[in-house]
Amino acid sequence: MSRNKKSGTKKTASNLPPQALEQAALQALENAQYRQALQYLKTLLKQGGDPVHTSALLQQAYTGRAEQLADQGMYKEALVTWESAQAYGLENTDRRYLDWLLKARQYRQWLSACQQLPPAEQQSLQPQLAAIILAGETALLDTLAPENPVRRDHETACELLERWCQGESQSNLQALLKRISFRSPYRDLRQIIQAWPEPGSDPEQIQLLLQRLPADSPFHPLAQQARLLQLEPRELLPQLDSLSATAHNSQMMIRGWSGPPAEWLKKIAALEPEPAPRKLYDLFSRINTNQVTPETRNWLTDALKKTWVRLTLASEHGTRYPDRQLHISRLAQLVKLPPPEKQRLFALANDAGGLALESRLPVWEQYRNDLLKTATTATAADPSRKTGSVTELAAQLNCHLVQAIREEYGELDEYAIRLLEQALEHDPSLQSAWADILEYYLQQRKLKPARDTLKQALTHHPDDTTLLELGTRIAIAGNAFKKAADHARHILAIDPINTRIRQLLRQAHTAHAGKQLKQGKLHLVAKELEEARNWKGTALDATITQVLQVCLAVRQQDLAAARQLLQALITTEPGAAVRLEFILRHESLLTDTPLATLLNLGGLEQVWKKPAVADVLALEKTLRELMEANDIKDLTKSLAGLQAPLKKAAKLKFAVGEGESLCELWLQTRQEALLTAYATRLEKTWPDKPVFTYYRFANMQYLGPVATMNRLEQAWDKARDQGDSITASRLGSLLDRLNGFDHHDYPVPPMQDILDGKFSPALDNLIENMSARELLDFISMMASDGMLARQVLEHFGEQALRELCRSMMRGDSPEDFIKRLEKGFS
Amino acid sequence: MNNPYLILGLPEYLPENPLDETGLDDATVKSAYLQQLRRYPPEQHPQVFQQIRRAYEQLETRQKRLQQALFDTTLPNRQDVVTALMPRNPPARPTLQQVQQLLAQG
Repeated sequence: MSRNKKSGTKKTASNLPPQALEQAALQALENAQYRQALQYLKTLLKQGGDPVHTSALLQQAYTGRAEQLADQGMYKEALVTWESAQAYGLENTDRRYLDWLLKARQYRQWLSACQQLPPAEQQSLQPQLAAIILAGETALLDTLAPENPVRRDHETACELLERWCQGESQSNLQALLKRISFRSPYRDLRQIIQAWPEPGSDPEQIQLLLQRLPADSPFHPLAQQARLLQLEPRELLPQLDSLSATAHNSQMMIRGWSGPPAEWLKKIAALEPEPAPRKLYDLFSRINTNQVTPETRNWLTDALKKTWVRLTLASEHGTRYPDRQLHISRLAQLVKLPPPEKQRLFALANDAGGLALESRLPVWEQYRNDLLKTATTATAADPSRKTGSVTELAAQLNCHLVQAIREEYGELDEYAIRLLEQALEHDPSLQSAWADILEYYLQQRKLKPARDTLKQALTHHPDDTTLLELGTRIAIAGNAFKKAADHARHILAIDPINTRIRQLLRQAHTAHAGKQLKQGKLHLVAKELEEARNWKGTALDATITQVLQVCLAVRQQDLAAARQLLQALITTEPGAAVRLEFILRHESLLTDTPLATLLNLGGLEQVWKKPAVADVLALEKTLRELMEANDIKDLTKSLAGLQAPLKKAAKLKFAVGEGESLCELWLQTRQEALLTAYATRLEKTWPDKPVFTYYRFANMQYLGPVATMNRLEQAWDKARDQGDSITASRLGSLLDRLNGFDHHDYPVPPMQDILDGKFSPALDNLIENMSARELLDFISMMASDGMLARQVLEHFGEQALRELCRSMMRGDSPEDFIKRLEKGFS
Repeated sequence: MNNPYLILGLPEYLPENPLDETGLDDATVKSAYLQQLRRYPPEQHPQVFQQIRRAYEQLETRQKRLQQALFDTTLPNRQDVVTALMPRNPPARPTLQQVQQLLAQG
């Protein structure tokens, strides 16, 4: 094909007039079509074109073609092209030609061409010649004059290189290094040897020495290895890909990656930077095959142990629980993991697999116990052995378990507190553990243990503001206001701009004032209120302080002053009257001040006569502020007198968000009657909002009628359809609770009997003593058919449910039992 | 690289050998962090800096190091594996034959 083309071009070229030929040649040159250009120009020359001009164009075409070939790595062909153009003025001393000679390893021709260069240029090429001879072309030495520095210094350079490669120290090589002068063609080699990274050498110094090498130094490939040797893996890996095969292999071998490690590295380097776990895992799995020698396998498993462990936990194919267990067991066997470590991996796999907390906790506890046993054994064998790290690990582990409990249940329990206390025995520096325990005791109003714990916590963390703040709150909760003030001042000494503690201080003083009012110590109240005013608080704090002042005036029989103070608090803002009425109600309870007098003085007796939406929302806001500011959970007493008007107000038209917020408040404050009233009304107003169905039944403790359960299930479906994941999740939990799926506190059935398929007297006795709820739980667990069991309970009663359970344990199907039951009734 | 110990060039404390303390303290971790920062100035290597910073935050206190030892399940990436395979004491000098091959390469 190309031959035809060529002859076609020739034919065409020979038919063209000289002027057209020149035009075509110029066009081909411009398009970098040098072979075509050469054809046109040669024809033009034959046809008698201007020889000088045509020769110049031919030179241009030959040069371009030779460069094209060299660019493609065809150095020999490039050299031939260049040489055939020497008749047109191309010289064999051209740098390009010399360079291609080197690349084609035609050193003799290169040397003879160099010898035609002016002396200065010859000298500049001496380092190149030195490098070539050191690379093994020693025969070239004979062509050099004895005084030629390349020949003169060769022996020294050779000895230096050999001894350096054999690992001789720099200090032993000093004499040889000195013999290579700064004018020597081997000076770059000397510099590289001096710069070569050695253990303990200064990286900046190395960098400096390497930077001084000329950019075109023939010793550059060796310098490049020195530079690469300085790189960390994160930098090396991307660079390896761009290296020539020789440079790549050299770097690998210098770094000690030869044989199997190098092969494995190649396999790993071929992966993407963030490989899929599955890919890596499959690659690692090949280590444990017959294709890998035992030595290599041992080396690889030892080197990759940590990485493999992480991979096993994270790999995609191990997300299913039993698979992970299997992979961990295999890995533990292969890399010889100690039993506690295997236990830790199981525990981590359980966490990752999303197992129920009840299943995860014992595995972690077993691991912690194994850890502590390791410490005990070590100390028994060697009393001087330090085991602090083990006990600290155990403490961290307990904190991890507490976090898991918090995530599962949203709050801590006694078991979690025990775990934290154990953690603190191992490591009292765990500030957050102290804080968690104190917060728990405070919420549970267990003030005695709270105070004891605080005392211990502050011995370890005397200036910790979180613990001091908790101390302030504990003191306020226990009416120890002076103590609260002490803690608060301590915090302000450490953190003078702490606004939260300023607010707490104010609340401590107002609460103290309230206590003094209740105790009748009226002469102390004014001073306490004055103290309170010194600290900045919220608008609610200001109102409470003022209300206490009103209470004081009432108690001092100064009703005129009380009225005046109270009037100053009344504003026309929507809901303001209701808000004030509630604060008066709340404070009258706390200070034993007659409520009727207070309401009368303020003219607030009728505020609930015709409540508006704004009134209910203002009350909600006040309740939330009070609860948040004063750690109050139960406002039942303060709300006692408002039950009737609030129930009446449920008929008002609330927006969806307002209704949700109110229902949530009634749920949090355990105002069951109000919750039912509001949720029922709101469910009717907003039938497409499943959230109100949830609130309607949120307080249900036991299984309801089938209709109710169906309603809840429909609401659950609706919430999921609407993408309301929070409501769906809450409804799901409620249904689980009511169906008994999250309760396993019934007596443990005799498992062996069940497994053996025996209906033993022990099992019969157990069923006889189960409550209806326990029976439902048990049936749900055995048959996952809670609905059927509920229908039996609803229609036929508890005894029928018990018989269903017995029938199922005997191996009968529930449907057969129902048929028998219906026959019996008909 | 995802392993913070490898990023900061520090010896890793493993729960596999719970009694073998690495002797790592907060000051050593900080010093390694600063050394890496000098090597990779944030203005020149913003991505590497983020990696170094994250690694430091994971190891800066003893409690964090213990948590790392117990609960870390970060997925290894290619560089972690390469570093794991890296010989501890490389010979670090080429052979004469390697030098000759490199110089012949030009």
